[in-house]
Amino acid sequence: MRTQEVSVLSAHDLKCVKGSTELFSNIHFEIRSGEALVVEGSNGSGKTSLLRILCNYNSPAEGQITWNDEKIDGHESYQQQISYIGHASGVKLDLTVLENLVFAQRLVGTDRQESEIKEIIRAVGLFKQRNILARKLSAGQKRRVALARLQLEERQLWILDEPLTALDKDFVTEFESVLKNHLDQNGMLIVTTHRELLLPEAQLKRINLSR
Amino acid sequence: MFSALITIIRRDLLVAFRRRAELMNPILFYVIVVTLFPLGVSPDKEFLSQLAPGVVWVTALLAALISMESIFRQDFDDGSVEQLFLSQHPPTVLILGKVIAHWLITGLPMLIIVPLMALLLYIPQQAIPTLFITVLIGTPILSLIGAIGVALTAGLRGGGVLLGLLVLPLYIPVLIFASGAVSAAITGLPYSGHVALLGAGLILALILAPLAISASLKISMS
Repeated sequence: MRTQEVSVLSAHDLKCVKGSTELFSNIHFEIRSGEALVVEGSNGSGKTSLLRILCNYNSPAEGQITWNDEKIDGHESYQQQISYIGHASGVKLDLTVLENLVFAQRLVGTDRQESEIKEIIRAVGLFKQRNILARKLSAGQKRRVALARLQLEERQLWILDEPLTALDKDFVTEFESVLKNHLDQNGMLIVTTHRELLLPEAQLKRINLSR
Repeated sequence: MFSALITIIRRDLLVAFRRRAELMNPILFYVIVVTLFPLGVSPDKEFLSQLAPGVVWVTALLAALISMESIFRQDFDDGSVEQLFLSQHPPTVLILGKVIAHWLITGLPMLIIVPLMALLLYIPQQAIPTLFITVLIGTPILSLIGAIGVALTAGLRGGGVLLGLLVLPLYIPVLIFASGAVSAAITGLPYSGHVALLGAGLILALILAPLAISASLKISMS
């Protein structure tokens, strides 16, 4: 990441159907490097489904998504731009905090020094717990491990599903500055949240799926 | 790419090592079921050595089946499966790594214990190397095929029952050729044909199974 290139992710006329119910339709948006998209909507309005479609895990019932004017399905390098944190955050309960991050970033294809990883663990406030199994951490601490992974992976597009769940107030403020930093470095962000994120309005776009 | 393979094998082995109790399950099952046969059927030497190839292999199939679930179950629960597809490394390589790790956990102990089981069932000594080779070639096939089934059923409630129905029929060729080879070796007939076919099966499975597993995981995720 950290390129100067401007990328564009755009969605045209997306529609998502689960079983026989239509979750949303007519969704359009376009975001560029340095911009964030906040997806709003009531419970069950299809926020997670939209994010999974954007990750290319599922395909939309109708419509298309393009990354730099190329369709994302069958576009292999698209998924290599993404860091995704879903409801299940990809933290292995039987590994320690440090092991989790060491393995996760290597599997994704970055190769950071252990000192760098420890630095980020310190930044998310888990340095004391670095050698503790993730199983023994609280929900908020597990979330922090996932957010630490985000910063290690150096991907351009961050897709986050309710990243603030279980986080305490102080850490939310800290995390907002991480997000802002990411946007300033030409990153992109797509996030669902029920809490208000303090990000500069100029960089922020919103869509609401309930309407 | 090779380093990614090693990394995921190391990760899965470490996770398995932290859950040692589960680790012992399939191999204990294997040993117990095999030892039940002389007790339940007949301890007669002639009879047992005739029955042995079938017993050793049918039990291996069942042990492989009960151990299979664990390969992707946790990854589905904790979201690691989703991360596999965002890697710069091809998902098929990472998946192959997972299957290799799973084989090291479940197949390798079986390989070590099988000569002992052979003695228990009066398999003549000249046939033991053959048995060893069939287990060496056969159990990785079981892991590879089983992983396809698990990947398909992981997203379902009560997928375990379905897994057996789905996977056991696909295990039949392995059973036929592996126990055939051992039977042939016991009676002193040439068995290299059986072993060659098993080997061909392994190569085929090594190449195709990761693709099938990857596609199945994608289906289960959606």
